[in-house]
Amino acid sequence: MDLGGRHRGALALALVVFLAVRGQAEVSLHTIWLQVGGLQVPFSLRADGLQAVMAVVVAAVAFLVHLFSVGYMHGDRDVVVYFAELSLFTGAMLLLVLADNFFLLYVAWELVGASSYLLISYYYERPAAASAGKKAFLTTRIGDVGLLVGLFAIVWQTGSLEYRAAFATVESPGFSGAWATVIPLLIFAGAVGKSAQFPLHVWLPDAMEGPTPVSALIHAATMVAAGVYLVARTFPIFAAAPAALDVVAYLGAFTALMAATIAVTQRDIKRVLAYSTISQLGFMMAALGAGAPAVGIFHLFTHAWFKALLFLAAGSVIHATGRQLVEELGGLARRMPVTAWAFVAGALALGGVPPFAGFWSKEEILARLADTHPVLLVALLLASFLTALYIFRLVFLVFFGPEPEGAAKMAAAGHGTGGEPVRESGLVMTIPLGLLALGAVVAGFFGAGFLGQPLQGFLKLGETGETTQGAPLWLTVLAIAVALGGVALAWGLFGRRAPGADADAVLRARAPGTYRVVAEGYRLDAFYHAVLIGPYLVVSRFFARALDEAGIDWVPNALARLAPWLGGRFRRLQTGEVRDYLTAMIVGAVLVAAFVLGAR
Amino acid sequence: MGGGQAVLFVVMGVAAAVSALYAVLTRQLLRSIMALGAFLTAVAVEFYVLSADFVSLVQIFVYVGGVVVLMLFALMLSASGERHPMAGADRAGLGAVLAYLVGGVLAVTALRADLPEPGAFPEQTVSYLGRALLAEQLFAFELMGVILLAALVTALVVVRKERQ
Amino acid sequence: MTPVLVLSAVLFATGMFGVLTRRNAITLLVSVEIMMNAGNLNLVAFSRLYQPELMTGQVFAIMGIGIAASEAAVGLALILTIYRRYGSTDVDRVRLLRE
Repeated sequence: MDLGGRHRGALALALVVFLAVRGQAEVSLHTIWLQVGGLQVPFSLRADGLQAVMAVVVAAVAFLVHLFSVGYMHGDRDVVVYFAELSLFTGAMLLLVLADNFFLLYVAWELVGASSYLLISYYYERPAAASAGKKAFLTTRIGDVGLLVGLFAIVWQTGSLEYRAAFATVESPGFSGAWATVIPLLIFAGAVGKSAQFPLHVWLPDAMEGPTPVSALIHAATMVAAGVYLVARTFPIFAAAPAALDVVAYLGAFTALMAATIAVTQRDIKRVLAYSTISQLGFMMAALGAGAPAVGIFHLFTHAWFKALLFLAAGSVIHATGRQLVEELGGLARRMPVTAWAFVAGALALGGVPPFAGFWSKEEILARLADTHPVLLVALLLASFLTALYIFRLVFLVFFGPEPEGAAKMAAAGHGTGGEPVRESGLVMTIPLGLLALGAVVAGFFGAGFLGQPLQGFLKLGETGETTQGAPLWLTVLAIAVALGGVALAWGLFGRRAPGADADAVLRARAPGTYRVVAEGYRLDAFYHAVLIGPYLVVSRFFARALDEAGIDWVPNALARLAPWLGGRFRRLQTGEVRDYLTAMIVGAVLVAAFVLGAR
Repeated sequence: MGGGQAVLFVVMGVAAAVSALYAVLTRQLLRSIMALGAFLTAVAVEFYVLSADFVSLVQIFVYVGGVVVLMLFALMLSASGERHPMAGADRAGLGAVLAYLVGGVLAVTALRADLPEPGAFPEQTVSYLGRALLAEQLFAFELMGVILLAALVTALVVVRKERQ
Repeated sequence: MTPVLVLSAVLFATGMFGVLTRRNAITLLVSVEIMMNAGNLNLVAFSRLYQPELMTGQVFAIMGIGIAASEAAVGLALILTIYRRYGSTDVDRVRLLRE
């Protein structure tokens, strides 16, 4: 049983690098990989502050997920494939964060997308899983095209693929005009795809078809964070175009609010967490758009810990009970105490309740927005309220309250996965949960205002505008109030209910039509299908049937029909009659002789 | 060519043509082979008239004496003389056309060609031929030996009865 | 020499007619022999016309006779074998190569 050996190694290396960089050093590697025309394509890696931190996060979460998967995926038919794909993903992600030039970044970006597709469609025999993988890949592809065009533009404008060269050009006085804004927007397009921001967020909820540890790794902590990392890494390019930054901020805040509203209505645990991720990524984008990339990365840092924790805890539940719908669960705190309390820790962090991690990073974001975009501050406060609401809805519905009808009987009769009674998961799964819970508590202190923001200082990312030191008191109080208010409302709506009652009935009764629309993600999928996919399929079918099958295929098919026909005709030459053959020989000989002699 | 030779040539020529035609047309196999024998003899005389005396002799020894006898044996062993099927009347038309077309072309070419005066063969044909076979045409001679050997072996092998 | 050439042309045509027409295997062989003899006549005739001192035509005529003889031998052997197999020497009966 491989207890995450490779990932242990990766984590160890990442920590070593991190410690080395702590000492203000920068570790880097640089060689020329290709030379095409006048363009040099380098293979270069770097671990400065930002990249070292990302590497540690990726390696740590990957290691814990790997460990957890040993228990979760035990006995699965294609386990070997699973771990291979998991390792592929981890390697690609590490390459992405350690790359020092755009080319390598893009290569890793694509690799990450490809391995994400593989992992989402892991249960490939299920049609839903297969199409979820396709949807994820195609949707992020749209963003990737933007990123690629952006890279072309960068090479065109700067003549180099290195980060440094691009930053230098952008910061030089002569650089302005359309390109200055277009390039960051193109890069942002890639981020919108990978980080599931509106309007390219539709793939993430469906991606929950994959195994839960995959969701924890990819769709909580790492791949979706790649977009945020990308914007942070290329921040100088954004900083030169205030218009682009505004786009990022507004889009991020909008996404955060929108996704939070949807999360309240979802019945599947994993979908709640998926929309939660979309929402939290929106928070990060808002911070970046407000000109404080360090704050955004800080939130990425804390979010990685508690979101991975939440997903893995959900995985523990799913593994033990075989179910993931809220109406089929309840009162699990009794049977799975470790999982339950780990989940609660994650919920407190996500909800922004001090002293848990999420509070600190969220506070920083809100503080920044108070200075730059007060409108967005309101939006994000609302989103924070909803965040606390939906996550504690899950807590109360899944872990507390009465068990579903007949649950006791079923549990005793062994209706968990594998026919075992519902009980706490094994050590291999609970240890990662514990470690992540620890992270969810402690991670916030790395960048907390009152401790002098050591993490942000370490990142050395710079900011636009003035630097804020910590949040004003009124904002802190407001943030805490919002968080606790959300918890309280959740308790009021979902805390006490009768067994078998529909907990969402209260909300649904208020505005049945609206509730339905929200629950369906504002019908965005249907809209895309009708406007984009439907017509595309029509055109596609036309090309396939009329042009391809009838038209182009006709030629080889006709040839194929010609051959037997011709053969049939020629077959009649083979009479088997000796005299016919003799005649033919003589005729042939005469012709040859005539030809030879006539040529003279 | 002297007068006597010319007469002999014409007579033998007609004989050859007639017997060839008979051989090709007759229904009875035995008569066909006999006609072939006559044809071969006439051709041998033609060779003599052309001053190729050794060739003439070889023709008689090998062809008339060998091949014809061979065919008679084959005829005897295959007993195909009795119910001898009709010659392929279905092809007669086409065959005639083709054959005489070719023949006609050859004849016409011969008639219209600008041929040199015929020379004379050396006196001692045998010794000269012998020397030629072993000197200039050695390769062909040896090859022919191989062919003869191959034919011999082939005939023996082919005719052997199959083992059960 | 021209009459010789004409004669050989006629004989050749006769032989060819026989090859194309006859059904019996042995008669077929007879026709072939006729054609070959016509060829030999041509060889000797031309040998008189061009460099007769070399007698190349005669040499080849002799070769031709020898080869024709061996070919007749092999052919007859084959005919006999076929007769044993099919009970007939009718060339139209042997249709193994059909289609």
